[in-house]
Amino acid sequence: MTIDEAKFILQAYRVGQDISDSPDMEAALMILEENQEIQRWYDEDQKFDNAFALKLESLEIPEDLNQKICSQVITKENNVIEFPWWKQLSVLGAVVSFVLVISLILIPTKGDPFVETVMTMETFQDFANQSLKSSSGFNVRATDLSALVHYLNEHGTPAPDSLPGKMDQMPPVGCMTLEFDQKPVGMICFGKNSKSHLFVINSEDFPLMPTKKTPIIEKNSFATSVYWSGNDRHYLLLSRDPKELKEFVSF
Amino acid sequence: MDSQTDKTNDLNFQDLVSNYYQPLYRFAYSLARNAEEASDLTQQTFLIWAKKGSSLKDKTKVKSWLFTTLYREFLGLRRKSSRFPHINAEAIEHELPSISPNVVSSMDSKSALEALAEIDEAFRAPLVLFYMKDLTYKEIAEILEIPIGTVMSRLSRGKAQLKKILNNTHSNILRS
Repeated sequence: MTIDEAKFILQAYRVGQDISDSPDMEAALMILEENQEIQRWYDEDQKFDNAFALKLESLEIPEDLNQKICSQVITKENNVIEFPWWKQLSVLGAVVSFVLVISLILIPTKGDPFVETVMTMETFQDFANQSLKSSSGFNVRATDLSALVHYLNEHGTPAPDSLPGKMDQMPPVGCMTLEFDQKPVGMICFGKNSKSHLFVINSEDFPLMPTKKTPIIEKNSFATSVYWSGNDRHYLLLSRDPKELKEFVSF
Repeated sequence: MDSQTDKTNDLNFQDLVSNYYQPLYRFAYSLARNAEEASDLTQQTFLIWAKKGSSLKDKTKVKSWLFTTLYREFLGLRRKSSRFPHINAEAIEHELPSISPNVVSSMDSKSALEALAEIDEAFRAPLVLFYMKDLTYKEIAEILEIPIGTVMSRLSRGKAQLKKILNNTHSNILRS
């Protein structure tokens, strides 16, 4: 390695960084230790870096930027983040699902297939809304929850093994077997007016999904969504009947 | 039903914004080269965090996550606007111009950023992250989604370009 080559490589060196993966850098550092000319050059180069870093640091930041960012979302107690209603996916989702439920009644049609490939809390909501949109009906209709759970289990689809609060007293309507990225998703519809839908997935099928022992609740004037985890499953409850939800569901 | 709690998430959003909005804005500015787009990118990054940040299990990676997200957003915008310049990062020659630190110290911040803006985009991002000092090579590699060896190589080449640009700027000032 020539002195110029060593200097070129050393430009990227910062004291304290792990360079064990770079034999070139290690070789250049050995030259640095032995050669006074390079040491003088390196000292100057460090001064150059410090001077340039200071220039970058002095870049003026817009005064109201912090406030603008925070006003995008409203933070509540316990660090729960709530979006202004116009930015809430659940609102958009609820609006979309409301329009689609109406259109489903008026013009029965199949929607586009869901194209996301990574399940996150956000895509779970989108998936749930899309599934309601493109639904062609229940696989099974029953007013007995155990019959629906039995049907889902028989078809290798995750079903709830326990429900929060008095949710098991909510009248079930029917169930559907769905798929996300070739992984099974179970759905059971509840409520006198079929306005509550519980989606269930297996945790092991979606390892990136967060485990939430404490339910995450998003409310708006159109719908409420609740996400929680338990017994190797993740649940998403979408409801457009807050009164019924309050009556039967508690966490 | 009224307790909207997420006790697994111990990161306060406002604290997070306070800690990172300035370095993120600087990074955004160096990429976008204008204040308005830099502000938008910074805001968008935190909006994405608010929506998806809870899925990040390792909270020690928040900083890298934010920078990566901002960088991806920037690349996405560039692709959409078809202004993403084609560069051949490997074709840069090993030039090593020397420049006095005093030249940099005598410059104003705007001139320094203008010089930075002239650097090829592939070199600019790692260089800005390098000058932020509290990011390791590993973190820079994670943010830009390139190997650590590539980070070091681009830093050397980026710095060589930066020095050459600053030299030219300084010479022009002296001539005029």
